[in-house]
Amino acid sequence: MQEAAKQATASLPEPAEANGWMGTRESARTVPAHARRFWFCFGGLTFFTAIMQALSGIVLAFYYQPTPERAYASIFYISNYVKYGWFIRSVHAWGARLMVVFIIIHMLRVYVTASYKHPREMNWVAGVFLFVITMAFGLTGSLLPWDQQAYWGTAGAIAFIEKTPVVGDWIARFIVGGDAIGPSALSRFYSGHIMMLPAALVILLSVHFWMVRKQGISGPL
Amino acid sequence: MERRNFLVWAAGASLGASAIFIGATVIQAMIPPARSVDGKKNAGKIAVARVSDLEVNKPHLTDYGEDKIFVVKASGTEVHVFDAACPHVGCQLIFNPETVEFDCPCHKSVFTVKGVRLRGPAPRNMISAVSQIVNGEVVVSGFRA
Repeated sequence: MQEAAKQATASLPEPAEANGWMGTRESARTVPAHARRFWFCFGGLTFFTAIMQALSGIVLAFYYQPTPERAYASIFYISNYVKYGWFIRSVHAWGARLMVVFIIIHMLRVYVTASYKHPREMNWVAGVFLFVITMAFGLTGSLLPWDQQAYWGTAGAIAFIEKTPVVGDWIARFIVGGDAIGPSALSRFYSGHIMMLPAALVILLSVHFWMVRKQGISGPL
Repeated sequence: MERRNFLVWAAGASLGASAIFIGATVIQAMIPPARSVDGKKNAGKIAVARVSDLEVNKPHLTDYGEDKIFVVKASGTEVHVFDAACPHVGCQLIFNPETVEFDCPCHKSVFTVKGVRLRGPAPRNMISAVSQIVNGEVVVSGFRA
């Protein structure tokens, strides 16, 4: 395995011709020429938006209160009284939408360049799960402002889930924590949004990146 | 300076500037604001009434900072202080001595003399303030977050 890696890097030019501090720290694993195109950047951009979501989310969690009486009031407070709160909330809301767009472009790129094929099938599968996690982030996050859009948006999504044959009702009850969207739904969605989903995202992203490092970037078309 | 060194330097400088900008924004947002979650401004410790001047369950309307407050004596040693604005849309509540309740003139929300919501569109109880009795005076130190 290591022999193969040595042979692969042997043909590449030596990177460290001592171009100052940065020059001596350049990676020996340079990105191949065919991958130096902007449409190869969308996986990294998705990761960047994920970091921004984590950072802005931590600040929002300082002030957000997940109870029906306080949820909207605390969000109003963030937007109006917390310094730069309006900015951080907007970064979080727009970042969420942007992340979904970036993932879709990333998936299209992987499909078009056939990067999902052997030996990278399992990384495609991991990526699909990451996409599902991101959509779940969107579903759980959209209820938290607890306004009309949040409530009815979630009510629509739950109605879809209920239509699943056989297990639909049970799953909907499990997600909402009862028969209707109420205080227990808010607690569950908040727990999922800031504890369960981030943990799943970190684990799957580690696997995703580890496999990219191990398998390298797919060859040119 | 060589072109390559300059580009490395410029990239590092812009990354550093971004990090400082993001860090400063995040840290400033984490500092607790001067207002409580209800948007009420804490005006510091202010003596608002003498306990001996108050009558039990007869709210006394006075000022605290930029807000109106009700000082309610529950007993000789127990005093509650509430923001006079309704937690619905902020109309000033009126005390009704016949029912011993606070009524909202705008949308008919009703609260007990202890600030508990009874009915109406108000989403929660009256906004309470933190108060202490110091040397026979009611001292308000801010609103509860």
